[in-house]
Amino acid sequence: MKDFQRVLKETPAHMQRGLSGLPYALVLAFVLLAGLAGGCTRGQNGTDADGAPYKIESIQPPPGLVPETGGLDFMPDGRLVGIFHRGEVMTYDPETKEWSLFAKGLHDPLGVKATSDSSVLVTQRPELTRLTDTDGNGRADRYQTVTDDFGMSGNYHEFAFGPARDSSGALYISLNTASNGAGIWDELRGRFAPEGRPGRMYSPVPYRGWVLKVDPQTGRTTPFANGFRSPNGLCFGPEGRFFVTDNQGDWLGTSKLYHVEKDQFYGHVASLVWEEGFDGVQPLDLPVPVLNKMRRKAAVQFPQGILANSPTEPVVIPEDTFGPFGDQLLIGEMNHPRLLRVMLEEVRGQVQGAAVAFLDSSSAYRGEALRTGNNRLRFGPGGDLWVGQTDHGWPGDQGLQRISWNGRTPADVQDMRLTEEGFDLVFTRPLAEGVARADSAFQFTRYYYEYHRDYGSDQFDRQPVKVTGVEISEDRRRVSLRLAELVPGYIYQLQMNGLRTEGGTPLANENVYYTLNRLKEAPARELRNPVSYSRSDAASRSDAAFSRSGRNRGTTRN
Amino acid sequence: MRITGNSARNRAVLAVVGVVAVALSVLVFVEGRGGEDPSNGDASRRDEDRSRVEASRMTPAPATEPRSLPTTEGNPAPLAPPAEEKTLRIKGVTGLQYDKVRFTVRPRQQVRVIFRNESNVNHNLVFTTPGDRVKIVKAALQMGSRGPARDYVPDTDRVLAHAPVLKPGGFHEFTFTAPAEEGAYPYVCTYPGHGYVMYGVMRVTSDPGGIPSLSEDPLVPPDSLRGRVEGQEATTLHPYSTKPPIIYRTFMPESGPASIAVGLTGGVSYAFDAGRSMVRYAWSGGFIDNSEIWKGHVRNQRAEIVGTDGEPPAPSFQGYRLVEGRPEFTYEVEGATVRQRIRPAEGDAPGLVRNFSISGVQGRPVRFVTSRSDSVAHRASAGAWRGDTLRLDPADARAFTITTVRAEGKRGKRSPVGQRASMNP
Repeated sequence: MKDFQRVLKETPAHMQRGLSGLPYALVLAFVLLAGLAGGCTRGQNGTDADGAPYKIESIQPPPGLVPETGGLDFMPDGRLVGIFHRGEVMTYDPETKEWSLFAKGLHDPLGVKATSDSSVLVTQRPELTRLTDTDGNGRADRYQTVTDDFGMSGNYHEFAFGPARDSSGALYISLNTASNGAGIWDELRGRFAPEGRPGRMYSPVPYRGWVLKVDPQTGRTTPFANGFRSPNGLCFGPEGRFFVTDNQGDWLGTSKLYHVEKDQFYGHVASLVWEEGFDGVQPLDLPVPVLNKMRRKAAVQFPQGILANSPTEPVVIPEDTFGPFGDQLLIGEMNHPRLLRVMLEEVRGQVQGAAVAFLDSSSAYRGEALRTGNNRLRFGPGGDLWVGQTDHGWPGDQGLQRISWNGRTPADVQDMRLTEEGFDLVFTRPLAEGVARADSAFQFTRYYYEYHRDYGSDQFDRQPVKVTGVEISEDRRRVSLRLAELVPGYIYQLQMNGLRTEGGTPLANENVYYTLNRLKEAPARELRNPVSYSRSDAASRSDAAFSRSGRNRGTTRN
Repeated sequence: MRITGNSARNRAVLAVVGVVAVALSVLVFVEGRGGEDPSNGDASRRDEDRSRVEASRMTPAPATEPRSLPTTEGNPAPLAPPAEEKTLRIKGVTGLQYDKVRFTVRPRQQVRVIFRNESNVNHNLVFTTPGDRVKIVKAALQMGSRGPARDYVPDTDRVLAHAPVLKPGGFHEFTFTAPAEEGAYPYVCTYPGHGYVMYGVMRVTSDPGGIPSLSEDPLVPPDSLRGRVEGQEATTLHPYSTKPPIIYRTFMPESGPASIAVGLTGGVSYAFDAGRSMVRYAWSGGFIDNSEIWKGHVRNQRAEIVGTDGEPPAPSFQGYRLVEGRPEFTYEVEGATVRQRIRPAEGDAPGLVRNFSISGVQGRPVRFVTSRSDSVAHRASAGAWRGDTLRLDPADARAFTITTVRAEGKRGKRSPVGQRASMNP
């Protein structure tokens, strides 16, 4: 979830304006050009409104519901399950448009997974709960605690998220750290660690800042990975990879998407209090270079205030019901009326890739505008995307929206891949002839965000990277870019200028952000078949300053 | 009835004293039936906060500032003679509420109010100037012993009209002229303890269509305060009826962070601590107010208990003097002065003997509220126990003794001692 202070820390307005104003100017220029060229009928935004590939429709909430959406999922029979801040679990039948109450009285529920037409799993502040309608009257009458084997200090920021489910059926939940916007109660649940009390976001009770693995049958709960701050989004992606988002703040120079693996540490230091072998250690005293060596880096970083301020839940885009982006991730975003689309690849064992805004441009959709506060995403059985909004004291809206694709191909970057010399861009539609100008169409800037205890980070070592070569494929859908230099550890921000498709449609998004963790190994040539993953790098971590082996895998109860 | 659980703070005391619940006992004065709490000083702030948050949340947001509604600006009061007299039937009903929480009249319209008390406790009905409900409620409390004779109606021009205190079954009819100035004029029961939950609003307007819908009106009580709302599926708080039994998992005061508040029919509620799997305490007369918690990301909010006779009056500590080397504490409660000497109990069981002497009771009965516990026993020199509450008539209250000792035969059955010193309602 979004940290309040972040509102004050957004990127300076002049920078945002500088980055976002230019594309609009270009769009306007295209409107004029297209008009002169006598193209097809266009709306004010430079595209035929009927040609917009997506449609957004707002769903009317039932009377009495304050629709601060904490979770969405679908039952096997096609009903949507929505859970809301004031504790309601509602079902919505997309056919009849009828809402129905399934359960109520939950404590700030922020994740749901439907397991049958009469049973759902809900993560609420104190526990993971299975709600079951045992008598078939449509309302849950059994509220069964699956696990509450984690601590609560009473701090308002100790949200609980999930569950995500892996292919074996195991569940994963994540626990927000506490915020120094408030203290802790006199009376806690779980053991108190004094070492976990200092810090901006802190971990006074067990497993704050962790992802936990839960056996849904026995409730057995084991620590899985740590180093998280506000992990408000969990999902299993293609090839069984586990992804978790985290929010900019202390130890996070900017918001991130992690590819999470067992027993790894992802950088937010507070959670280390509960790491095996850290008894009596104040993690905040550890030298940052040591911490930096311990941590796993994010697969993708979302530049703060430019692309995102507070990313939320990731979902996998289905293969053929939502445009040409199958198997990529969509992620919610709280502060901007947009979603984030993530294009991933694996480079020598490191998952990394590019992020781009989605539905950011009004030319991309028709119907109602996308709201802010996009907290929960789920694809329905028909392939539509359902987006639940919340504000919850942060900037944002409330409600539920349904986004459908009408089969038209959006004009956008379909994929971005690292090459030995630069990047390959694949476009959804052929580019117009002559627009991929070598001198101006592709401009790169690189920078990095500092890993440190401070809140957020400036952009460091920001500098332009010269494009030394532009090659376009015969079908004009692929552009190979050669860069003057590629340095790992930087975000490569690409701004595209003047591109339009054969039909004259400008790109929906002209900025793409690639997180370059690792360079391609020469001479890997096959762009579409990245080098298969090996654990060699994992083995090399055994020389980290703090060995992570031998951790107790028992339950978290203290 | 306030039933106090054993908080961490209290346990710390008990660890020293070795006797459960001594620190929890408080004195409560009762004025007639009910003995409601007049001391909930936070209620007005909460009310203002709620007004603000409701006003900002709802769409379309009511463009009214709850405390100072727009008057004639841009919408002049009609110069034509006001419409004919309007008759309002307002009932005080079970659950400390008026059956009607809002009505509109036109500026300077004659208003005839027929007020009936159909509940089982006393109520009055007081119309105030805009934004002054809480002020009037506080002023009524400050009337002290003068209150009953004056129907708890403060002598101020902030009161526009009123019906006197009616006993159950009573009725009263009165007429008044609505103010010429448009605005929101609260009405409220100023009977002690009722004013923070039992109220409504008269909206004086020449444009009745222009007021916010009832569910979006920040000046009417939220459903959590209205208690039993019969036959109403959706409320302003939830897409379901909030009539009891009702359950909230929420942050509760004086309980662990994983708590469950349960409101039962009959007005009794309790807090169950899921961290310890036990009832922590119970109360009666009202349920909880989650409005602070529902603001979301703000600070460590908790639900607020809305007990009509839950909180004892706040005492004012006056210090102590030494008598035989031991302190004799002095404090004041609602104008009465209480002196308390504490000495060890005689006999094998550890315990305390407390001698109370109270002056300034002025004919009011006295309640002594304890925390019921398996591990201690209370004995009183006077008065009659009812549950965990000792009731004393004014004469007995001048001087009496409470002896509290650890109950024999209970040790070791509860572990640790005091952890289960909670009350099952």
